[in-house]
Amino acid sequence: MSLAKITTLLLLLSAGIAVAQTAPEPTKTFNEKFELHGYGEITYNNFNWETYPDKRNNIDLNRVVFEPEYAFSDKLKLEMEIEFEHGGTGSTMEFDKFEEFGEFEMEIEKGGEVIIEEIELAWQIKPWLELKAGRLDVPVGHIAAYGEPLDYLTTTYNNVEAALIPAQWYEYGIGAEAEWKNFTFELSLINGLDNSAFSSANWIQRGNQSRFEYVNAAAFAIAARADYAFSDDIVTGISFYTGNTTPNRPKPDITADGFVQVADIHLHAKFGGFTVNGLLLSGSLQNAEIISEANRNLSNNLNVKRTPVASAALGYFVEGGYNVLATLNKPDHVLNIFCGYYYYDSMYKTTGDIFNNPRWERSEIRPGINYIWQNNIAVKTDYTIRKIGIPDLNKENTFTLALAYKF
Amino acid sequence: MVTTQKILLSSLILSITLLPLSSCKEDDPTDIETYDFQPILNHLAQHVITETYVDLHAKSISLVSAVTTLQTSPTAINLEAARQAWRDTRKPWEQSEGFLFGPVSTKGIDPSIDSWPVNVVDLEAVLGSGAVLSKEYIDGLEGTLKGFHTIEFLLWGEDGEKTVDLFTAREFEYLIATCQSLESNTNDLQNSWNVTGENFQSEIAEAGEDGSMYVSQKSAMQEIINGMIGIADEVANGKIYDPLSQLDVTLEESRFSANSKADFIDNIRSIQNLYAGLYMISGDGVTTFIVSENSELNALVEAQMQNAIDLIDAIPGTFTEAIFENPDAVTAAQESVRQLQETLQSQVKPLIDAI
Repeated sequence: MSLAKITTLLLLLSAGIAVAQTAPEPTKTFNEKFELHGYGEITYNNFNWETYPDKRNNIDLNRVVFEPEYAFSDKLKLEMEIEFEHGGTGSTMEFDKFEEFGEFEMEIEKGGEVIIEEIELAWQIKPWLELKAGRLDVPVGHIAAYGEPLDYLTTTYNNVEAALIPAQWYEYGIGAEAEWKNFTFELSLINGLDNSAFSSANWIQRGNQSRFEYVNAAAFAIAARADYAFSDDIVTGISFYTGNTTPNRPKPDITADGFVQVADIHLHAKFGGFTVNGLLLSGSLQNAEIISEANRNLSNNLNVKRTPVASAALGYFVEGGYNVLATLNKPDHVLNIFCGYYYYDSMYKTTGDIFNNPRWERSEIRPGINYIWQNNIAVKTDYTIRKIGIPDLNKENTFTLALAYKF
Repeated sequence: MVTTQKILLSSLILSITLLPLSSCKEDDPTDIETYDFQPILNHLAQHVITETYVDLHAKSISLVSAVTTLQTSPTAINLEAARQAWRDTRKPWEQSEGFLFGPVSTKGIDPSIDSWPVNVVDLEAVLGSGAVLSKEYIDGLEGTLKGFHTIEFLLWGEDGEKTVDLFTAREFEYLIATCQSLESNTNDLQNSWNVTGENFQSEIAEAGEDGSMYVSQKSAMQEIINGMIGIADEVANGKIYDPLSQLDVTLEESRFSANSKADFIDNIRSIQNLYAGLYMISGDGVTTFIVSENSELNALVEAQMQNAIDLIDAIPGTFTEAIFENPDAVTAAQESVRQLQETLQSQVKPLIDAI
């Protein structure tokens, strides 16, 4: 799609919103227009890592998410997702005469984040076409479609996406979603990534400019997705992301383009008590060597990893589960036994004078059990057996217990 | 293209009505100076800080030549000379840790020079890889695979007992390239401060004047005193306390070379140099101001700095041995550094803050 066409679409959208807003429907009360959903999860992790024997076990209130939705009309909606990660955040100033040398002290009362993950104005322009604007879910990968705790088998996100790309990936921009027969198409124009935060361990994952008050919008990216549904529960598709990541660096310290390309093939299938999920994700980064060199010279104050970044990353997984209560005809109770295999290498290929560190090639086997009640409450447990690409002392095993809900 | 982008941007802004608004907290642009810190700032920036970096760079050039000699003529004498060159280079670096602000931080140089602990597993992977270990290749590695402690590991080995016959050709290659990389980092550092280079020293020396990043002389003095407090905190509560409290030698920073005690002493000397205004040349330092305000406090700080150096020096044997065999002596040294930190934080800094 050319920029001119996208601009036309944008202007249409702005005009459309204006039109839509002039036609309210007075028959509906506030309660009929307003909906609130939410979900959350808390996890306990027990680590047994040869690479990090002192790693402390932890309990994490991963996230508590509220999703208010307000319908201005049948066709125009405002959707939000407000997320409290790790229990929210709190910082204060304190004056302590006796313990802090009579100084004003900055205190961190609670570590964590409160984030407006998503704020989206959605306009159902036709029964088969929806236009969106705001802070949108980037339609790439498995988590983009199945990212709520009761959507996935495991206790936490699959580590393939969590390690390589921004796993909860939201960006500012505009998008369109169209349906045709059994196909769903999505196309978004969104602000691009910032490659100063790319790293060895997590490739482009930290690049979505979450640390700044404003995001740099000097370069935009395009994300597209096409899914085919054999039925409501059997969906397969592909997605693609491309965008330059150099212009969004905090300072104009390099001029070489840094186009990121990510492509994936995904599958989600549920049939007869079975669940099968799969993903193949491949990505490339242009001029990774120049970016690595520039990142090395960034200020400590920027708080980025500054480790070399790969020119290509690769990950895939396949997981299967079986609901052992499927034959009992008790839809309120689901007890899945599952197991998955995951492979991800954030340094799949490097260019030039960059050390391709084998440490970042990782594979996991992850068996587990989850129990879901009424599709509202889930208790899950799994055991991740991870092996990293170094010759010995290379096992990182994690036992996780999770409690999740949604309403 | 530009126009389309502009339309795009404007449309985006039109469409998104809920952008977060931020408020900027503005610093008070002018502090009323009641004490002229300029002579102190000028001397510390020009002589103490810049000269420390110039010295560090000169020593790192000698280190490159010492390891090159070791490669061409691998003898026990040349190995000892290379190790001594490492110790000589380490000294000004540790004496610079009282002022880890400015280019060393803003240019992200210190992780390349002094990352710890050495990542032995990945280091073995680098040695085992087929890559040509050039200076450029080492430049591209992350901090834990280069700098002082990687060089130390290669020169001494994990147990500190490495003999010259145990060096492989590949290790020599890594050693030389890592020393060259260190030399270029220290060159960058001295050039950043030097009046003939990027002249960061003028930011400190001309604090409070137009164009300086320091809005007042006081803010530059606070930067310096915070640097002193920071290294005292790190020596007492990190470098000494962590290996002592956990009885874990892997937490000891310069254990391969058994240079830890010298490291700690040089860190305290870094505080001493800033306080006394002394590095090669004597001049104004923090003491100049403190004497004018409170001569008793000045005597206390001087005594505590010397006491900390003496007690670290008095730790019997190596630091590795002492944490097991003489924990009381280590604790006493740690306590003396903590006292110094407390005095700097609770008595010296408030005097500067009050200006």
